[in-house]
Amino acid sequence: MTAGTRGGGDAPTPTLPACLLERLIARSAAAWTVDDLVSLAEERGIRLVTLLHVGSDGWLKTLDFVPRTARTCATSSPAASAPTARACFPASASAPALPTSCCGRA
Amino acid sequence: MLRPRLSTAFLDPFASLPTLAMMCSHAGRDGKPLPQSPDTIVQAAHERLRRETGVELFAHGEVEYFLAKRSEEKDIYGASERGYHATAPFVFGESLRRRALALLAEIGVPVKYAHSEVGYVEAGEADGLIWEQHEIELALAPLPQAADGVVLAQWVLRNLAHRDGMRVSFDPILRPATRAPGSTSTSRRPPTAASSTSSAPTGRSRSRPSG
Repeated sequence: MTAGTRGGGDAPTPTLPACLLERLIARSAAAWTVDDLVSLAEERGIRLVTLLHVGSDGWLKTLDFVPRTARTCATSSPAASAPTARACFPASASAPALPTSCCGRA
Repeated sequence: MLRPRLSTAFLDPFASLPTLAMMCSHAGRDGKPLPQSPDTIVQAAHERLRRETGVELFAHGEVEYFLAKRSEEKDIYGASERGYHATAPFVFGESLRRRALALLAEIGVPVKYAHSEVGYVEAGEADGLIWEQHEIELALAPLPQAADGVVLAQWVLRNLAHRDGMRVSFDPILRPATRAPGSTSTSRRPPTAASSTSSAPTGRSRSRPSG
């Protein structure tokens, strides 16, 4: 069997570019749009959208959303709250409130 | 406020459900970057350097780490100072390191190469853990992306180690009394810029990794 094949004469599984989403979207990451990601979410059966961010302790934090519709996948999902900011940055007493929102166009 | 950066999106390889993940920046209620956010600090430093010197700072993480597992009868090869570029079965962490390297590339972290490193700690009487050192070197990227890469590399390694029942430590200095090698996560400027910086915390009082 040739490396990179699924065996039994199947076509080789594409492995380049190495970034999976660049292969699926067929564009470099710098060119991705909200529409690209919404389409991808629909095509790939995405159940959750998770927002990762780095806390003051250096740990990776996450905030999970369920994309109920294509629109909610692409636009704001407002939530609380000041406790988020205090929890993420406890050493900073003057930390401003940190409401959470999702997926503005970047 | 969390501001997603679309170019960082990836399919979470550890999620139990199909999950789209992306890295975010922090903003305050005024919409401005949150000053105390690590992301804001990195972005601001990068921008200030560019503004004041005209230098675009590229960096790459050299993510060194120790893996630990309980010593077993089959662990007959481990030895200090012989682990550099060693293959399995001379090291036990090769498979995990290779999976981490491939996963990082797949989620969009530019990687350069990976190999086992020289550090090795024999099983301690207290916990029976043997520790060996590995390294994943990331590829050059603008400083903010390089910082994301280091965070994601540590996240991937922690997830894989946890799943494999191992421990992972990024402690920079393992056994100062014996001058045994420790781990660093350094960020280096390209040849056109000046000095090196280290993002590694110090851990001089530790005799064994803390996990």
